[in-house]
Amino acid sequence: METTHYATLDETLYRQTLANGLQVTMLPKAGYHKTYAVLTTNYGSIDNYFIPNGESEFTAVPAGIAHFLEHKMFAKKAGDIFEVFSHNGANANAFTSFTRTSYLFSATDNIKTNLMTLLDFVQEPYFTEASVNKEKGIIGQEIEMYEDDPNWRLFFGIIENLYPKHPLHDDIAGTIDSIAKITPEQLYAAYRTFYQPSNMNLFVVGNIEPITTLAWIEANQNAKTFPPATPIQRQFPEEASDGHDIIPYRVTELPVKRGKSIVGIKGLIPATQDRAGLKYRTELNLLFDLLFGDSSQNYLKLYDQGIVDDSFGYELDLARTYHFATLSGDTAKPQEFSDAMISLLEKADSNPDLNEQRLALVKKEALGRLLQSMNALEYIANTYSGNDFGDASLFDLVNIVDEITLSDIQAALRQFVRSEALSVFHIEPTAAAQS
Amino acid sequence: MVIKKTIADGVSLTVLPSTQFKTIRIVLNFIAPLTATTITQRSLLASLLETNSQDYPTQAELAAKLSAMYGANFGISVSKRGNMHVFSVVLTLVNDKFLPGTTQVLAEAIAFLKQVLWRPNATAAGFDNATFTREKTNMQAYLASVYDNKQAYASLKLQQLYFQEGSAQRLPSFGNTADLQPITASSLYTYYQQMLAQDQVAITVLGEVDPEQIATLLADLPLTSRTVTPTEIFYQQPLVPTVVEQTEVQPTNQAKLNLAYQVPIYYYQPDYYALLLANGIFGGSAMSLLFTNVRERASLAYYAASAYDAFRGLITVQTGIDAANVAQVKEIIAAQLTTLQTGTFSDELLEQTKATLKNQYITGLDSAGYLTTHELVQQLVPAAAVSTADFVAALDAVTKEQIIAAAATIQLQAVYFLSSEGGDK
Repeated sequence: METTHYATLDETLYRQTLANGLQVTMLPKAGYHKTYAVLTTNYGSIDNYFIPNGESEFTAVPAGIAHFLEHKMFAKKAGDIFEVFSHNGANANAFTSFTRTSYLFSATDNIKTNLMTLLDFVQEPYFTEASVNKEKGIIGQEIEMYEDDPNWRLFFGIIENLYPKHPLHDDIAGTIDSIAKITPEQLYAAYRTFYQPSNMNLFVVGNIEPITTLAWIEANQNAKTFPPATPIQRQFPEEASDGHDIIPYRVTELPVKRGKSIVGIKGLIPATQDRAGLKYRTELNLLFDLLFGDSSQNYLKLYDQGIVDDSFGYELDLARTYHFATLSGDTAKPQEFSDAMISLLEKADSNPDLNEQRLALVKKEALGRLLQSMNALEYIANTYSGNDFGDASLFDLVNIVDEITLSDIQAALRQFVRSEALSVFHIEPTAAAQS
Repeated sequence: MVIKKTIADGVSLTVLPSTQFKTIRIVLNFIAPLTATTITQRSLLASLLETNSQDYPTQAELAAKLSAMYGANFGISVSKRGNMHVFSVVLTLVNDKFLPGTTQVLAEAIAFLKQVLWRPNATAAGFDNATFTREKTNMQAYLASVYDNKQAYASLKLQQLYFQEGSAQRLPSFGNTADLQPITASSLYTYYQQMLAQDQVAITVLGEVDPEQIATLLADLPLTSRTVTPTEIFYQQPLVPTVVEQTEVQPTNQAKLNLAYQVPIYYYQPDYYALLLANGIFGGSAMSLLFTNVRERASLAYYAASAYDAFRGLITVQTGIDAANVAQVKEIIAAQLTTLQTGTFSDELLEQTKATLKNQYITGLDSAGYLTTHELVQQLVPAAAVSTADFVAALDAVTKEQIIAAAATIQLQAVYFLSSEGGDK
């Protein structure tokens, strides 16, 4: 087992890849009562076009299938797997992102039993026509709930602008129409392809002893037979590398009281899935902290002018096949908001907030926040298993943050922030909602 | 070893030493009886004091100070606990021992709290006008935008419907537009002086700290003696003979059906554990009767859950459904309550709920936020000061008969339905 001690964070990580390819990572946390485990497959809502394991032709599956599969994984012949977890005092759940599907539990007792339940239920699919059809009503309500959430609409509004072809623009849960088409056969094909142990990782954090815990996991996996690992073949529609297919602007009216604006930046030059990619992401995060963080003069000015308020935020998502950033907020004047953001972005290179002194400050803050995050077991596990930077992970961020210079950040800025990569989406209140 | 001290009359300090976390969490709770006239003022104060101060006259300066303290997290939140309103100032910082060199963030942090709370951006005439006006405008916009979050909106409308006319419980803990209008920079400053001087103050510090050092550092805060008049924390109101119902139509995709039930059982009273289990069985987990029957069996909802407010004697149910199915969903919910009250749920469900609640309670011990809140609650309700072992034992000892008896007291009082227009999708 590979053991790495991170001195600044005062944490020790234990890693082992099992014979079947499953990557196991463990982080013992002294003093904690609970154990949190998350089993993740490198498969998410964007993986809709692939060669099913055992076949030779590409096939297209309905949007929302990864999320649908996640829901149906809990249904077994013997009943609902939540019952088994509850019986053992565990709180279980699952979630699907663009590129990942994760199954998790948190418990303070019966850790071995709960860990075996987690591995077993995710490694034993059981899909029937009746149960698949029944789920459509439940997921239909989930979709409608998100449809009523203006922040969700804003987020997907900008993604639709930035990615006119890439399946990133599909809602993770799909649509009522797309999920209506899902069949048990499609679920099995997706399962066979993406739930191979070699495409999965298990992260266990909390009140654990790594050697014993690994022995439990290995015994469980050794008792099962898996088909040989097969390379996964996915395909994504090609998007213009010069950004010319980006929709620059759209607006929609919704029955909301407050308008919203979001500015998106599409990464046109693909980032790598390794330490350099993690460093690049960190450079961009620091860049946004410098330019738009609440200690910046830019933010102060916009706040004092009433263009942004506490709802303002920025986010960067960098994962398999894509990366983009967004700046968003609630505002009575969406146009002023997006104009101000674009103006700052386009002249960012000469912005006075980009200076050595502020870089030292935001780096201090980044280090402190990283240390604070070590209190949150769920955050550590979900971040570690949700990211894909090869051998590099959030535990390397102390060194990465330390390494980054102002000229690195300026280079990242020039690479990422380009006029042709920008897009704007607005939500305006309907006349009826405003009255 | 928990250390409790009285700093002055009405001002307490609790130090919870722990090596579990990499952070030190400092919480200053200002506690006052809940009144309709002060809720909105306290909420606006939270925004103002987070924004700037005399020593940090702009937000950028205040934020830079927090960054310089290695990303210390500073925030003020407001909440209701039964008949009390709590204004919580929270500062979380990294333990000095993890920071480079001889950094001494802890002492700096307490000095910072003194600056922002006792040297606000104000003169004798009141809060700085520009800051006040902007924060008031922002709060107004925020209050209006609650409409845009349908789950929160429906909960607040149910609260308004359930609590009786004239009760401050009807108001959101963060205030409302009508009460915001008349507040001025001067009136708010006057109220703030009163709050600082008269509110009960409960300070909690959690982390690897030296209690003596903490006490010395905190002694520098100008917290003078105050008279705390004992207030009954549990809220009670008479039962209404007929269920109050309200339907509102909005152009949404999903309808929301929320229900309010009165229960005469409060935090850590004798039947508390039985009711905690009753709520867990009813709608408090993924195994619950509501989740199983509304979602899993009938496929009518994505979420269907209940919550127990033990300070106000209230159980609420929340669901998101298709408007056309409302009658069926109401029927299923009523049937689950009957199952609970007649004890026709399985023994297995009872055992699962016990295991789930124990896990939840013990899991809480891993959260710095939960621990400091739990400490506050223990000060407000001394009976809540039970050990983990006692909590687990008390939960284990509850019988099915006790659950049936506790559940028998659950009475439907209000139904709020946020309907979608149907065709508008």
